[in-house]
Amino acid sequence: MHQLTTTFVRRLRNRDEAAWFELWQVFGPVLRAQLSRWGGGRIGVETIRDLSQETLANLSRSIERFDPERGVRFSTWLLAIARHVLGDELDRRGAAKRGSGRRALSLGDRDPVSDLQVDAAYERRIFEAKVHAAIRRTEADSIFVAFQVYRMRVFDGQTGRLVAEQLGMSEATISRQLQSVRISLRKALENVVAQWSFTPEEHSEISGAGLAGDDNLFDEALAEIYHSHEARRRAEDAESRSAGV
Amino acid sequence: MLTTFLGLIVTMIAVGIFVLGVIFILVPIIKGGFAFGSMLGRLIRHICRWLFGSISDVVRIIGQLFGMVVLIPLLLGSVVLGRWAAAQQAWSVIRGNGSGVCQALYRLLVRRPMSLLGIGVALDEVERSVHDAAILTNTVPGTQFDGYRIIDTLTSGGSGATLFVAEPHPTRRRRLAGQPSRVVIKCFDLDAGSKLPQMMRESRSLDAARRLGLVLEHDMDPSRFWYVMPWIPGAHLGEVVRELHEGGQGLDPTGLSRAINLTIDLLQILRRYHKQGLWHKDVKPENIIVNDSGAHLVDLGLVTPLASAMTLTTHGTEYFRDPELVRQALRGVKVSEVDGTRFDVYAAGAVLYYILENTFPAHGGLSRFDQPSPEAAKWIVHRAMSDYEQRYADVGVMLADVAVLAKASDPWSVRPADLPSMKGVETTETTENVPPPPPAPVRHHHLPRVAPPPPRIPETRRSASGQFSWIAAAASFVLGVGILMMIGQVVLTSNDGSILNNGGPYVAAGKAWSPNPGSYGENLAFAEPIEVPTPASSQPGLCLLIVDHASRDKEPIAETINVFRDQLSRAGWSHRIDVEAEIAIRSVMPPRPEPGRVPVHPAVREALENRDLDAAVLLIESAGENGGVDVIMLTHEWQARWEIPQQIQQSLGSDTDQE
Repeated sequence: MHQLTTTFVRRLRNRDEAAWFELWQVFGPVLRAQLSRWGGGRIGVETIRDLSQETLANLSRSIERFDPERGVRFSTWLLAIARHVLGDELDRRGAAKRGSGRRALSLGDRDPVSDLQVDAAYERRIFEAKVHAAIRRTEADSIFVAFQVYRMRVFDGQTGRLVAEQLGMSEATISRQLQSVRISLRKALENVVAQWSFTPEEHSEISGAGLAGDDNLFDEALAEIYHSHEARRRAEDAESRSAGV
Repeated sequence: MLTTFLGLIVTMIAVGIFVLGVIFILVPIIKGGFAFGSMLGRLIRHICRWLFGSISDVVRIIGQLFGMVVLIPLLLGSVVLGRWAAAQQAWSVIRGNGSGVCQALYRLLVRRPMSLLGIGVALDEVERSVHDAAILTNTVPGTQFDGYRIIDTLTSGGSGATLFVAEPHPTRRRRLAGQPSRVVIKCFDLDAGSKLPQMMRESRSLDAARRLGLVLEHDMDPSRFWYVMPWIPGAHLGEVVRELHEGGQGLDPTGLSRAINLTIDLLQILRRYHKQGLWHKDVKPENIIVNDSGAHLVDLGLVTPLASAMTLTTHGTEYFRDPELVRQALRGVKVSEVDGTRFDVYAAGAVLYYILENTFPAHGGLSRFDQPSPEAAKWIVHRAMSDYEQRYADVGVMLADVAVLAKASDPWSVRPADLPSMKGVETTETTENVPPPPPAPVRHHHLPRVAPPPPRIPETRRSASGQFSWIAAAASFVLGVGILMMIGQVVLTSNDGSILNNGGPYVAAGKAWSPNPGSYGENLAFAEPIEVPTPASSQPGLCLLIVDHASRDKEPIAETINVFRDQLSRAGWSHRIDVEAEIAIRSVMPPRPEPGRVPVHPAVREALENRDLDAAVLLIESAGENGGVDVIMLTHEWQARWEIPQQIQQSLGSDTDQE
């Protein structure tokens, strides 16, 4: 396992709240969406929120027992815990309805990963969440204007000339700003993916998504993922908001 | 065959002519487009309104009656089976439907016919009186406020308080600033489930809120605490934004101009807050009321003094709260160690995004713009929501940028380069592959060991008249006595524990009843001056108690702190909320003195004397590895630190459990 991964897992084990917040910020929305899908409309927005928090709490408890050598993908592991939490909730509801008061199984009672089917949509969401985390990290670490140049040029699709005009800079300056942010983004992507990946297969996702190509390919792939992630997140949030109403 | 075919063609032509007639003749008449048709159009609209309204009422009655017919067997079945919860729920729905049927019948048979005849106005006063009477009848016993008549309730947020719309009686009205005809009363009622920490948190900013004209007065009785705010009629920003975006193509020029003006209003209000040493902390569309006079920021629930020595909390609203605030709160930093105004700047940026896009910024500063907006407006949003260190340094800078948009004859022609904040902006290109990380967002203020400068107090407070200060002090005293009585009655009862003097420092031991160990709120620190027997003399005195443990709401720490507080306040002395005292004491308090007792620094003695305190106690996380609670006590003569170890906490916990 990559050193960044082990470092992060160690931080989680040490109850580093910043690490937990980062985990929540990056993967919380994916978990909420997945739990909502599984719930099939039977579970309310607030419960979904509770369950996704419970998933991370369970992760906190099970991380002590996690064996990185088993070759389980990080995404699968996270999903397995979420599935367990949801199953637990449904068991509890069933028990409450029947009035038996039966206590649901605890995570230690069964292997959550063994019988799990992971679909491609979920894997794509997890990867997009990682890419988005890398963009966010780069935004925080870059000079504001430089990152805005990249945003306008790549995410908004404006021409270099137009961006230069809007910002009162020369096109050569725009190109240099663009390149510096691009380099930062590549490094951030490597780090983020390494941090949140357990298997070599996960590490190779960058090249699979076209993010290891030349500058043009890189920008194109990144913009596509950014827009896809943004659109999905908006749709999910709108859906959960309307369900909440 | 031919005849049928021709008949069909003629019919279709006739229908077409009819439709065109409706479109080209009736519609202009209804809209009053023809001079001669204006009167006729109004009459037709009037009749149509009556007709469609009546049809809608009939449909509603049928639907609700059908619902009742379906639910009545369900109710009877539930009663027979003994499923009381289900029966109660069914009954509640049936009642609601019954009420709906009655209302629809009233509209159908009385209200609409009278309105059709043009005498509906006569019913307005009758309906208003009935509505007021219904509100008064429905309010729970005790929801009366001396000098006010309740006329309505409002949806309350997450603070646990109830909001009432009220009219002040003429004598009371004359006493209030601005002599408002209507006010909003925010009431915390312990009997209705409000929590003491919430009450204490909101009461901290009352003085500053009064100076800003946001609070007119406050009062309390043994179980309730309430304050009175001006009533601001209007719609909240969310509703206004929905209307502005009705076309679905983004904002039109008028809408854009209105959006910019509303943003300017918001930023001006925030600037007033910040100048008064406060930050709002919960700026969001639902807290912005818009009316003819512009935008108004409401809800003081989270308003916090910028110089507060409290621990930063994560309270706020997702999407409008800066994630950096959460990060810092999780680190346990104090409010005074961060620049709270920047979090308001972030929220203002999020609100501007919301206005432009008609949705919330799901990805913070990275959120995409889908609606057409001027590039300069997008730039302002991105700048306000960028990284903590890189965003606008204060709302004044953001305001200057937005003002350029407001002044422009065509906002679309304004470039980001034209904004004042872009003059001299850092555009240094990075020469390294990875830019150096920005400085840590927290501004570290090391507490001085020698006499420090006085705590930051807003200038307006210094210039306030002596009479006002005297009245404020008296009001605070009355408030404090009341809160003490409440704590005495509600929280600190059933305690049969004792304080054991264990070789100087206290050790809390014995049983104590804890009403709600986890109810102190997220990362909430609070200061409560109470009288305690000091270890030196065993004589009671006034002590400022500051609970600032990172895990104060978790077992067994919460239990330990509760027990300790119980021990100290067992005699039930006067108690008042005094954040400034805490700020003053913290500013001279050594970060973490060595264990044991040493002479106190003169600055500490002076701070205690200035606040008429005999001692101050700080409960924080233990420096050791045994997860205990460190107690730091400062008196006029000495300062001491000791620890309540884990073992004692466990014994306290087990004692409490047994009880």
